[in-house]
Amino acid sequence: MRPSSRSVHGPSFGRRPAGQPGDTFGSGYPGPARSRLGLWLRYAAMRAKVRLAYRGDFALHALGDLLVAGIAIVFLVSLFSHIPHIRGWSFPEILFLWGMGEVSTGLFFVLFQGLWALNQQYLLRGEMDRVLLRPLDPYGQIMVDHLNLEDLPIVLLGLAMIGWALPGLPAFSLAQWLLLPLFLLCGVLVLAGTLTLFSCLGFLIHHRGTAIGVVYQASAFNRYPLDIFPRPLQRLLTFVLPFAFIAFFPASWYLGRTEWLLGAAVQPLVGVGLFVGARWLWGRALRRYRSPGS
Amino acid sequence: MLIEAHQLRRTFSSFERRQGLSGAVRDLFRTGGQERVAVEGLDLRVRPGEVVGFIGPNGAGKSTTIKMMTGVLAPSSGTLRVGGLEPHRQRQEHVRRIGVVYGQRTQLWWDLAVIEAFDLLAGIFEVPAAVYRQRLELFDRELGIGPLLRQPVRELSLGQRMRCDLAAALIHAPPLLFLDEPTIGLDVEVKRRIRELVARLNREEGTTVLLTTHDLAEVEALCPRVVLIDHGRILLDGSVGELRERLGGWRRLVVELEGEVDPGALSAALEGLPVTPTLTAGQVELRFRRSELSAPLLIQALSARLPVRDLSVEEEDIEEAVARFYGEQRA
Repeated sequence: MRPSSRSVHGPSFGRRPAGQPGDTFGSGYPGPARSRLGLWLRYAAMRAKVRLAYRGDFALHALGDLLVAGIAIVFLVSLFSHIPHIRGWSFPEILFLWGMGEVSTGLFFVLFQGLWALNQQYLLRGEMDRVLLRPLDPYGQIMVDHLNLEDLPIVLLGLAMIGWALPGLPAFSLAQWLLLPLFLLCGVLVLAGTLTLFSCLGFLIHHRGTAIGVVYQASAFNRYPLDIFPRPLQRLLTFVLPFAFIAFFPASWYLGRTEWLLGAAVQPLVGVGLFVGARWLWGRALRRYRSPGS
Repeated sequence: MLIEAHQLRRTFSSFERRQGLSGAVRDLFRTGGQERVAVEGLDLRVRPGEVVGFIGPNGAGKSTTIKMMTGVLAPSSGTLRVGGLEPHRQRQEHVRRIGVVYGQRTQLWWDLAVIEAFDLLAGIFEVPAAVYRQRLELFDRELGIGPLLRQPVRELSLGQRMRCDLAAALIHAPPLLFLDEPTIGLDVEVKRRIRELVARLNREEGTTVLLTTHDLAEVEALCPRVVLIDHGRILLDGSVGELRERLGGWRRLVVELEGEVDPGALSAALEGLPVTPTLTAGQVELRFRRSELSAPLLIQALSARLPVRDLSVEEEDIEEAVARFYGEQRA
């Protein structure tokens, strides 16, 4: 009975003589990756494939996010159609700043969506156990598991805004062009570092994960010129929740505003330093993980 | 020694949530909580190639012990070495050499097809392609997972999922396997297949196995060595035979009598015998230890004085024995 009932479900696996070439299980496994990076890319590709497989879901999510971003642009356009400047900032300038922020935020959401799942899924429901049983960096696994390609259109939108702003701005130097990707990536790190830092709270206090939600809301300030805010808020956005480093400080250099030059100069340091520090602390906090259901 | 635990201890600070809104607000500002001891001074040594069954009631500390040995939880104090490594500190190196199966939850990615999850795990554990293919063939033969490979994990039944989970934990041929209630809720056939594969890996590859379970039949089928644990302490460490011995070797003689039982005649019949009688309607149940009293002698004494209609002798099964043992220890 057994062999015949098995052949109904698919090819018979047991009968093939050992050593014969051919892919018995139709598995595309190419053997171990040559490097750590290769392995991470393979992992990420697998996740991306799954996300793309839910096409309807993907399209809907992407559309929703674009809509939200689009409303902001409509608001900007209509605002500047009535007034030419806000505190000396012209429409193309705001557009450029906004575009930079959009690119960094979009990339952040593509890569670091896992931070939102940390509390509920990994700490409270205990999926951290699975992550810890694999010989890979736990933080990386969580982020890759929640790789969120749906937000790539936001990045494109941000780039389009930068492109749209360019004709109305003074020409950039070669150095400025070359440094632009660096500033954008370090903007991602500022955001990721800050939120990673706050995500550590989940290891200490059991909560549903609203802390980083609140902090993230505050990051919306990164797309506005800092000097339109009152002093205390400016300090807050520079030293406490350093969201002014995401886009504002670097953008001000591109826009020829020298009073924030120092901010632009140290932005990469702030981004890398904050992220590395937050990751270190996260690793320390992980030691306090208490798997549920002991 | 593959596993060496010395005075291993793990505590949790537990919060008992206060009731109502004001309680919730006060909870916010509470710092330390009550210390709850999950594992208390555990000493355990496991040699390579052993199959050890961890048994004990819920909350005995079995899972916490396993979680420390797999590196998921840090011990509060004491020392723990597995294969010469400190699991929690050298976690990534350590987990390459172990396989872990939780009966309660899957370790596979919910939305991947089984084969995709296997491919990814093989990559993560750096399994050579040829070895990987051999493993898949072995798992298909032993667990019949071939037809499941293309299905997404979320669509598998519990029995299918557990077979795939076991296979996933074994892809990298770990020399040490942890099974935390692996057959909970499974049907007889799936249980048998899982046990057979585990026994075979132990026999042929020398895989060391640490198993926690409530199912004593499983322990009897798989584990030459049993560790009985409660409140995080080891109560007994020995063979299944020793376990039976220590748990008493109790027997039960059930006697059916003609007509009403006469308590006077009964106590006269049992005069001087090490046995405790329980009277029920028309029946007498007598518990005694095999080492202290032989069944024929007891039957003889009874039938001399009482009108016996029928009788049967039963061995106390191990499950009851363990439950009683815990009762005594806690009392």
